[in-house]
Amino acid sequence: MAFRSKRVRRLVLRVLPVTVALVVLLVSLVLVSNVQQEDSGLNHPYVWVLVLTVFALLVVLAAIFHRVISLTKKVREHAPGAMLSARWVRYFLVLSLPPALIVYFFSAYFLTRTVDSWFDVGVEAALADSLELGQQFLENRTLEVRNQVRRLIREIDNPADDVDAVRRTLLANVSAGGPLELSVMEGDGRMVASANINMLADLPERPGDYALLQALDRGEYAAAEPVADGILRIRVIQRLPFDVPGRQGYLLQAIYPLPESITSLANRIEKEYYRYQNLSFLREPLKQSFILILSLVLLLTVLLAILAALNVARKLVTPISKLAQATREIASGDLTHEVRVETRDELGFLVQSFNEMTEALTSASQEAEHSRGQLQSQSEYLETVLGSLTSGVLTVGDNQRVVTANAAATQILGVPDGFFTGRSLSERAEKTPLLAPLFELIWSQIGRGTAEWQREIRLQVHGQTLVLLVRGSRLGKGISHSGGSVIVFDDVTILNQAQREAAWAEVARRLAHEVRNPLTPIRLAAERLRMKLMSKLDAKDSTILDSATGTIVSQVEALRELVDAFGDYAQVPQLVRAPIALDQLIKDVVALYQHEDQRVNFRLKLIAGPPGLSADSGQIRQLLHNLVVNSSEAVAKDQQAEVSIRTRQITQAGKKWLELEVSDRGPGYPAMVLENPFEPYVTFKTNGSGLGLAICRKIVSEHDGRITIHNPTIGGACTTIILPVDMNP
Amino acid sequence: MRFCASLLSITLFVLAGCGQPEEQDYAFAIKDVSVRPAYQSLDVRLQQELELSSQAREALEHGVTLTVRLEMELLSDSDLIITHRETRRFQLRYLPLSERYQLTEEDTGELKAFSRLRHMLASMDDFNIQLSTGPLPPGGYELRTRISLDERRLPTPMQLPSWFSSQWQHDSEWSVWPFEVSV
Repeated sequence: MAFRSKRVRRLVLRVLPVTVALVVLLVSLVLVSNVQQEDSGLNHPYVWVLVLTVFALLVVLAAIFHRVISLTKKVREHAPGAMLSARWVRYFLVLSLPPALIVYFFSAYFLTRTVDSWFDVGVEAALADSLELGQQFLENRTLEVRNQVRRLIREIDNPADDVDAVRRTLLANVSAGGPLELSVMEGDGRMVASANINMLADLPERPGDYALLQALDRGEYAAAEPVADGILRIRVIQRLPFDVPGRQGYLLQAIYPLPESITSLANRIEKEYYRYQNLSFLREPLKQSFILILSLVLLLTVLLAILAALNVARKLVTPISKLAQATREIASGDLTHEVRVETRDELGFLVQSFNEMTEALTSASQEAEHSRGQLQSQSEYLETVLGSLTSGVLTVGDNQRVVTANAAATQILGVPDGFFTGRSLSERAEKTPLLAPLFELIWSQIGRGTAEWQREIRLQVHGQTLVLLVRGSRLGKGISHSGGSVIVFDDVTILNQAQREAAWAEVARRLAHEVRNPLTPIRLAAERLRMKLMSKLDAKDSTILDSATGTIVSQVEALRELVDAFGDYAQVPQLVRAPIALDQLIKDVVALYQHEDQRVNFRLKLIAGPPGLSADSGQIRQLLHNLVVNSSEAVAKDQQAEVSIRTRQITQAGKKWLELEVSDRGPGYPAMVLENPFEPYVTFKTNGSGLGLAICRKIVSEHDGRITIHNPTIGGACTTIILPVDMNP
Repeated sequence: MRFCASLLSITLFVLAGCGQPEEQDYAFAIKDVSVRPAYQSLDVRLQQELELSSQAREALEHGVTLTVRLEMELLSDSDLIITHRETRRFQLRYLPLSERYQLTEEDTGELKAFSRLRHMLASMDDFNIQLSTGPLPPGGYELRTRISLDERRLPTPMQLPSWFSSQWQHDSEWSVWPFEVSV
C-alpha cells in the first residue's frame, strides 16, 4: 500500500506537472502557429498563450534543473550509476541537439524566405494599378454626376420663393439610374426640401461638416463615400446660385449610386489591396512571430530531449545502480542483499543472474566459513595439543626460519614467548650463544636432508646442565606448506640424573652392605691383637704394634664413616613435610658453627619465615650443614673468613619460590666440580667423600626445588637453592 | 541572414520597449467630462483629445484597423462600489479606394467617413454618450473614464511588440469626475 501511495505521489509530484506543461506547450504552439490568420479567433488570447507557453517552459526547465542538480549531487557523492547517467545524458544531448539545431536554423531560413516570397513587386504594382483604375472610374463617374448636378441646378427655383416647386423639381429628377436622392439644404445643413426614389426612405442624411464647409467655400463637394456593407455612393453637393441675406445660401445634395457590378469589383480590389498592404506592413512582425514560435518549439524540443535523456538515463541506469550498490554491499560482506527484478529484458536477465551468483556466493561463503571454522578448530586443537606437550616442538622451514614453536620449547630453553617467531636459527644462535650448539645441531641435521634423526645434547644454561634429547623429521611438501622439518626435544636432564643417581645409590647401597660388614670384625681383631700382644712384646715392638693396630682402627673408622656416608646417600628417606621457619633454622646451624670456629664471620641477610615454606626440617638442617661446612672449609685458611647467607622470595613462572644463597670468598669451585657439580665422589677436598653436593641436590630435588652452583666474577663460590613456597599458606 | 536580422530585431524591439520612455507627441487625453442625470440614465459629454503616434498612423494607412476603447465606470461615493460599467469601442479604418477614413462605432454600427485623419480624430473630440444606469439614488458619485488604443484588437503579430513599444501606448489613464444626483 505504501509502495502504491509512493508511486501515486511520485506521479502527482513529478510526472503530472511536467506532462501538463508539455501538453500546454504543444497546444499553445499549435494555436499560436495560426498567427498569420486574421480570422483565426486567436487575436485576443495570443499574448496570453505566449505568456502561458513561457511559463510552461519555465516549469519544464525547473524540472530539468532539479533533476540535473540531483544528478550532479549524486555524481559528486559517487553514487552508484550516477556517472553512467551523466554520461548517458551527455551522449543523448550530443546526438539530439545538432539535428534539432540544424532543423531549427534551416526552418527559420526557409520560413523567412517563404514570408518574403509572399510579396511580389508585380503583384503589388498590379493591385496598385487596379486600385488606381477603380479610383479613376470613381473619379470619372463623379465628374459625370457633377455635370449632371450642375445641369439640374439650372432647373431648380429659389427655395426662398417656392419650396414646393423645388420639391417637385427634385422629385422629377430622382430616378433609378440617376440620383437616388436629391435634397436642398441651408448652409448649416438644415433640410429645406428633398426627394428620394424610395418613398418610404428616412430623411436625407446630413453631410459631414467637412463636406458642407468645402461646398460653401469652393461651391462644390463631390466624392465617392462608403456606406454600410462596403457599398460606395457618390455624394455631390453644389451651391445654389441664390443669395439669401443673413444666410450662407442654399446647397443641393445629390446621392448617386454606383453600378452593383462595378461596386463589387471595386470592393474586391480594395479588399485585396487592403489585405496585401496589411500583410506587407506586418511582414517583419510576422517573421518575428514565426521565429519566436520556432524558437519556442526548438527550446521545447531541447528541453524535451534533456528531460527524456534524464528520464531514460535514470530508467536504464536504475537496475545498474542497484547492481552496483548490491556489489558494494556484497564486497563489504553482506551477501544477503538481493536486487529486485523489475524488467524482463537483458537488464532483468543480468539482475537475475546477479541474484543467482549472489546465492551461489552465499552458499560457497557458508561452506568456506564452515571449512574455515573446522580448520580453525583443528588448528586450535593442534595448538592445544602442542601447548600441552611437555616436549618442545619447533617447525623449521627450509630457509632456516622457525615457523612455529610451542610453549614447552620456550619453557625448556628458558627463552621468552615469541623468541622464535619468524626468526632464523642463525639469528637466534647469535642472540643466545648458550643455545647456539642446539640450533647448529638442528640446522646441520636439516642440511643433511636426513628423513629422521635423533641426538642428545648437553647445554650449560645459567650454570645448569641441560640435557636435551632432540629428534627431527623432515616434512613433505604439501599444498599449504613448502616442506621444512619438525623438531621435537625433551629435557632429559632429570631423567639422566635420576638414572645416574639410581646407579650411584645402588653402588652406595652395595658398598655399604659389602664393606660395612667386615669392618667390625677387622676392628675387633685389631683391638684384640693389640690387647693380647701388647703386654708380651718389648717396648719397641709394642710401640710398632700399637701404631699398626691404631692405624687399622682409625682406617676402619674412616671406612665406616665413608660407608655411613654412602649409606646416607643411598637411603630413601620418608619426607616429613611441615611448615618451617628457615631463618630460624639457618640461625641455629650458623650458631653451631660460629661456636666451633670463631674466625669465620657469618653474614646473614634473611627474610622472616617465610610462611608457606613446607619442608622436612631434618633434611633441610642436613642441607644447611653441608653447605656451611663446604663454605667454612673453603675459607678456613683466610684470616678474615666470611660466609654470606641470604634468603629472599622470588617469583618464577608464576610461582613463588624461596631463594637461599650461600656464598664465600674462597677459591671457588674447581672446574671438574663445575662440569659435574652434583656427581657423587667428585670432590676437591683431600678427606672429602664427594657426596656433600650430591646429597644436597638429592634433598633439594626431594623438596621439588632446584640447586645451582657457580663461581661469581668477583671470586669465591656461590650455591643457590630455590624451594617452592605455597602461595596460599 | 534575414533570420538573424529578425532575431536581432526581436531582441532590439524588446530592449527598446524596456528602455526609457521617449517623449510623446501623441496621446489620448480626456480634457473634460460633464455629467447630467436624466431619467434612468446619465447624459455624458466628453471632451477629449486624440493623437495617434507615427507607427499607429502608418499601420492605419497600411490597412491595419485600429480600435479605440472608451471605458466608463460609475462609483457611488458612499461605498465606492462600481454601480455601472460601460465600454465603447470605435474602429478606425482607412479605405484606399475612396481614400477615406472610416469611423465605426461597434455597438451601434454607425459609420462616418472622413477625407482626413485629423477630421476623423477631431470628430471624437467632443461627443455625447448616454449611459443607461437605471434609477440612481440621490448622492455623490464618481464617473471614472479612460480612453485607450486596444492593443488586443491589433493583428496578432503586432500584439507582442505593442506590449513593449511606447509607440503603441496611447492610454489616457483613469480620470475621475465627481458629480451629484439630487432628488
